[in-house]
Amino acid sequence: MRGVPRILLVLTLLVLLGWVLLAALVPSGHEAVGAGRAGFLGESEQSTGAINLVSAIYLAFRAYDTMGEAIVLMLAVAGVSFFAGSGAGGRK
Amino acid sequence: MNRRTELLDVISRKLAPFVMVFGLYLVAYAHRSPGGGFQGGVVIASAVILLALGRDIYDVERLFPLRALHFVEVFAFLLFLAVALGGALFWAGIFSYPPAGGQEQLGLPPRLVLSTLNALIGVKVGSGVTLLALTLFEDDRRRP
Repeated sequence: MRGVPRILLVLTLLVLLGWVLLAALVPSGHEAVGAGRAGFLGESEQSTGAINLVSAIYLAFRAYDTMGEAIVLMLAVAGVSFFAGSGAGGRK
Repeated sequence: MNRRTELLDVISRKLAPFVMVFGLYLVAYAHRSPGGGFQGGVVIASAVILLALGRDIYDVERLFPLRALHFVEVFAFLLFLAVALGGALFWAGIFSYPPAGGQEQLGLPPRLVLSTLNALIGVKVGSGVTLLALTLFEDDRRRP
């Protein structure tokens, strides 16, 4: 803990605490939450054709997130085959 | 794998095709049952890893050459991007789906786009995780 200023640590803890409190205080049946849930449940099958809501969300409503994950995996593969590979694209 | 036993050899070779089919099932039916491209791809990769554990890893690399796996992964990702851009070309925008009842543009059902994206993600993740595992399993001292 030498290098980190103490004030930064305290601030981080405060932000985390505030986050947890906020999550606990906002009821799950809140208007906005309910509207979002109703939107996903009602629209997903009609607009994507998927009964499985998880598939509908990760390939339609959050497709950019999926693309980012694919990029992350590709970077991981590139790194591993660069550092540990010996055949295609390896550095050994 | 010097300490390979007959048991591991036989079991892995009999089990791997079924694991692979299960992975394909997870990818293909992700729109109506639990599953998806990531999960199915990892299951497919686990079948290849099972083969590599039971058999010699260089036998498996002859079946799935690393160079081909690299190519498949990148190409699947490019196709994924192409489908995403196709949404911008034909429908509302990038990563958009064809309208449900609409026959105006191509008349595709939205599920076709979803299943295509799922299959591409499955192929990409499957080849990617296989590549990770095979690259890390390699043993330079025993390279043929």
